[in-house]
Amino acid sequence: MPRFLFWNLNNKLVPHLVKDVARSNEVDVLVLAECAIPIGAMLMELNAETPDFQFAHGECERIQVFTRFDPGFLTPIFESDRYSIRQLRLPLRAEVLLAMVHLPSKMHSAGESQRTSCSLLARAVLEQEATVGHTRTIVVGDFNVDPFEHGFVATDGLHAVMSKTVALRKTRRVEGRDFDFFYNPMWGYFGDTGNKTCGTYYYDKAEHVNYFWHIFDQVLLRPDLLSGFSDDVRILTVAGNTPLLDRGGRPDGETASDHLPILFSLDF
Amino acid sequence: MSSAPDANALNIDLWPKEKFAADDIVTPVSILRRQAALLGEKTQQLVAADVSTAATGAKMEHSFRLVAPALNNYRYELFSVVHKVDELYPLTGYFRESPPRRIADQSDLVEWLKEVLSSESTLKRIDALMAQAKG
Repeated sequence: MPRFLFWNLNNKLVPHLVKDVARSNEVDVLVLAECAIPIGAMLMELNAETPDFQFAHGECERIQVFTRFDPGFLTPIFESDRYSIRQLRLPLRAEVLLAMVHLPSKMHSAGESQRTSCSLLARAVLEQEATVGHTRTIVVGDFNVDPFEHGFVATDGLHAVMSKTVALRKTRRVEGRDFDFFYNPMWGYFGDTGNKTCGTYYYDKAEHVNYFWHIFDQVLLRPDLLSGFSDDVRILTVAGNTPLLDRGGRPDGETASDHLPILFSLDF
Repeated sequence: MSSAPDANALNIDLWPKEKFAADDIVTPVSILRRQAALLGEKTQQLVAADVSTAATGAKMEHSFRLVAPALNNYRYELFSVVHKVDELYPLTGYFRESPPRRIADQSDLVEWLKEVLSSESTLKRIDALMAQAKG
């Protein structure tokens, strides 16, 4: 079953950690955002033991993709400065659309602008689904938006819900128009029940409203893919033997990135 | 006290006498479409452009895309502009890492487009697509 990993590296030069997290989790498609590691250096590190990772070129400079599949199986069809939408065509498997995303940070983009970014992304995905003629779509990345924000929940945004049962209705009619659902499994990762980490990103500021933990790094799935998804999504807290959290249990931005990687697998 | 009903009210045209100005308005999207049409001519149609428009909620979003017909119609969204459905200006321009730009009027839009279309990153991207389209 193909395994996917997304990690915003926050421009940290940590190729050894990327290799460790990719190798120890047997990742097939490795998606990096804010990656300042030169492609050649990343390939040398990933392939230090066995030469099976290749770079899958795209025009979106914010996203870099390395894969153990032939890069020809991951064809870009629509890109922007913020996302790369590709057809993933593996032998003997159904074709899927893989949209990889890094949306603007809250530090540089106000709430309404972030909502617009989500809406533009949602429209781009819909258009490409119409072009390829199916809705087997995965959207993964750092959205800089939490699952509960309007850009994620609203019909003119990504329309991503926390319930598989709801998502499996496929569409919802509002004011005479049908809107397609995404399923967002990341809702299940808020809070520290079960001694797990509370999110993928921690931010503490002296404001009256402060969530501290955020889940900006997310994967969304269209209902057509849910039969092959067995809740196998994880927020990783180690890369090989290296902890990605500091002593306070927050992402260790000194040793690694201020974001935690997410790993998921999917049969299709 | 209310006045007596007057059947002539049905025959009165209450609209203002001035003609509606829709024919005279140059909309932001028409400016974008014109620039999109010009690109193909400049690249031997190796790289063209189109503008996709959608209304979402109370907003109109116009997305300007580069298109490479020889690369299976690969598309790259170069920039986008957003305005209210019922107001053409001000609008907000989104281009690469620049913060969203507030565009006050038509001349401001033209100036912003000039910056975007002649920026190094835009030209580099078009060159790259042309090179790939040539095979």
